[in-house]
Amino acid sequence: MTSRKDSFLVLKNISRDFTRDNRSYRAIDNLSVGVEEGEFVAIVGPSGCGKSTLLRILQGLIPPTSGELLYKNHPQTGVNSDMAMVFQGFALLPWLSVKDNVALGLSARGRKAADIDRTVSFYIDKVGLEGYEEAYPRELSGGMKQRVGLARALAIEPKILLMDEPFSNLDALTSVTLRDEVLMLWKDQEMPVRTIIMVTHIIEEAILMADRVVVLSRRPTHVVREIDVDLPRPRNRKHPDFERLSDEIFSLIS
Amino acid sequence: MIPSFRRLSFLLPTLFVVAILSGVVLLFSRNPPSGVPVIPRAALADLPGDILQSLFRLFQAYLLSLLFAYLYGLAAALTRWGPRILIPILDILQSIPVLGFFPAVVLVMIPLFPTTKMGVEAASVILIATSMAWNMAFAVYESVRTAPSDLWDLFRGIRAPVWQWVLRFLVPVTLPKVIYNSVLSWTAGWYFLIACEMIAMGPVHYELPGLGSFLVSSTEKGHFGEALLGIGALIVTVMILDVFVFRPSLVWSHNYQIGEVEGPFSRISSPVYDFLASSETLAEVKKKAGHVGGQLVRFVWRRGRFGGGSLTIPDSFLRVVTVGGGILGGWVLLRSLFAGVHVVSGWVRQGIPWGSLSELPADLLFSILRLLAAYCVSLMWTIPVAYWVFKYPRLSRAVFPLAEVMASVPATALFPFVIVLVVQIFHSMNLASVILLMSGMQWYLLFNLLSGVGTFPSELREVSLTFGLRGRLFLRKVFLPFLLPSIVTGSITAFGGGWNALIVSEYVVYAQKDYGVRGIGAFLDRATYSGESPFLGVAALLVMTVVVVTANRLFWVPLYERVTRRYGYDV
Repeated sequence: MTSRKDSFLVLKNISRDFTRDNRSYRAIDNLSVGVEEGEFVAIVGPSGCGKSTLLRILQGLIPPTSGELLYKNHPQTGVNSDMAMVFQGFALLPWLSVKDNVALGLSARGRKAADIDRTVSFYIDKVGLEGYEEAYPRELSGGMKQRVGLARALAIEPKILLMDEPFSNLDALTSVTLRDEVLMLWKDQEMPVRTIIMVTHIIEEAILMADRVVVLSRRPTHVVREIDVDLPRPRNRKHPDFERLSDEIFSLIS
Repeated sequence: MIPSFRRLSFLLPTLFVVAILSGVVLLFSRNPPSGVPVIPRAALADLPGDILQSLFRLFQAYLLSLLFAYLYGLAAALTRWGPRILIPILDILQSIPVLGFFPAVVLVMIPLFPTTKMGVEAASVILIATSMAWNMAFAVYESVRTAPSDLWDLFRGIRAPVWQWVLRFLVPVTLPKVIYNSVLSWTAGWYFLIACEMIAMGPVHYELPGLGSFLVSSTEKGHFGEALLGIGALIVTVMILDVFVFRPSLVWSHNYQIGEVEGPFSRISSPVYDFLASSETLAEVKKKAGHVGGQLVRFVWRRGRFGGGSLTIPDSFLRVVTVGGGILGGWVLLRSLFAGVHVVSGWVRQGIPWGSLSELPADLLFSILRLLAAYCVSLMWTIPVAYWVFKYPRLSRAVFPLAEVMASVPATALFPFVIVLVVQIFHSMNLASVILLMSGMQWYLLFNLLSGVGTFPSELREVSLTFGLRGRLFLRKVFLPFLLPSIVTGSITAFGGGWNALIVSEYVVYAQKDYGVRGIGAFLDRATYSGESPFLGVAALLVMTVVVVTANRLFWVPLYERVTRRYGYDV
């Protein structure tokens, strides 16, 4: 796979090894992919294939064993603070209120209190949590917890939003609503975040949301195919092209 | 204030239990021990034999504790009145300082055996067991109570016979907690070994051959080198046990862990276990043994004609047991009360030593202040170490075994060194006493903090990284709040250890000289050894037990509940 020219974010021949019980495993093998600014990219693949590892390499949470990672044509070292992550298991701090959870990244950046307050309440409103500022995570439903996670990521106004299976810990109905809301936020002109990279194992979800689907193989993981999704939005899963794409990706994974 | 009053309602049963216990003791101790078999000790050549004797004593105590833990834990978990009656009693028993059982056990055991030596030996084993048994009983109780209800339903659904319940449910479910607590119990056993091998009551003084008495007599005589050698031997023994017994067992018990919950020792590794697990001959032996064992169980089973029955016991049998137990219990109760009243009224007629008793409140205060000081110092060094291990996880491989060994070294073994260093340099027995107290407190804190650090979710680590939480902000918003439940559990166990250590830390005899400070531990020591009036010992013990139980009920338990509710990480 060749990456597109002058990309926003480029992974070149990335490999990643893990050691467990003194044996070394290759989780990701020679993987190359590019992401352009303003794009919504979905990464799909069989379970356990290292999708989440890839996302963490993207942000610099774990270093690749070999290969090169370019962000805006510069090699990226360490954690990229232009990115924010939404976690599968929400990863909220149970001892902090909703407000303080959302404020986490801002206070880490040393913003002024008034500034933090303003930004936090703006994003809490955006994700539809107004009135729950003082609540604690354990008092919230799963869907609301993930809204807090989303607001926390958006609040630092990242250039790229990373989402690690953000809807897989939610019930079916909740995930449908939350998906739509993420798409609305993406199209919202008030939102600074233009680029989204989402990892998922649900093929439908990927086609429903993304501009492009990157299909990964089993371990050791590499890119099997990149598929552009140019169906009109809002997308309809009953559309024949939708089903054709879905079948195509399904056959690539299984 | 009403809820606090309700929380105090346990005081009455506490006093009741203590009264009954002392009554039972008095009932069986009509002929007080005489004869003074002090074995001349502390020749260096005896050291290997002493270690083996101590090891054997600890092993017996451990078996006894294990038996007690399963019987008591199961009774508490499976009967209706268990959680309401047996568990509070266990709580009280756990709160009585180990030395508190001394007079009771010695007085009961010695008349029960044909020779005094056998009686003292048995008393010593039981005394060691009182430092091992309670947490293991709690472990059995908790594992059975928290076993997934699906498992219960499954076993009930397949109408599992008793052997299947035991082999496939009870043992596997309890194994992880029981093994983990066994390791802690052995540590506690070593710690109190010294106190339990030197049995002195009033004028009567027994000494059993063993590592503990070796250490004491060599320090009493001021033989520094021999004491040092004894401690070295102790450390080597603890390490050998650790490598060849505890670690493999801990690793093995992880196979039975239900769910993904990370235990305190879940990151431990054991080359010995790996060797045993991968050995093919051993696997063959295990398979054969399992086959033969299975045949045996089935054979006994068919012969025993329990066939098809699940956990049902005939009603008539139950009734007989209940009635018989009731009558027996009532008789013991009545006789105990009678004996107790008789003896106590005898003491009262002798005259209550008000003069000595009036020192008790001030002594208690001094001891509490000393405990608090030792606790604060322990906290001040263990939290940074925990953070250090968190930042450099590889350190845990070194810190864990080190702490385990250090925790096993009996405080009393360290006394001569501490005393020589502190008293002769700083001229302060108070400081020495606080340091000795720390030896009984800090390791519990460290263990709990490290186990907390071990369960730090990778998610939280990633959140902190993605949002750039570093340094102080990370400590304040993520690390310390996450660790808070572990700090509280560690504090509870540390204070439990501290109260126990109080008795051996406030009054020390070294090189024929007494070193003491004012405190309730020293008070109890004097009362036990001098035999001035039995009233004093009982009073000190009662005060201490009530203080410990009260502190637990009014402070620690509510705090623990609050903290786990607010800071428990399970979102």
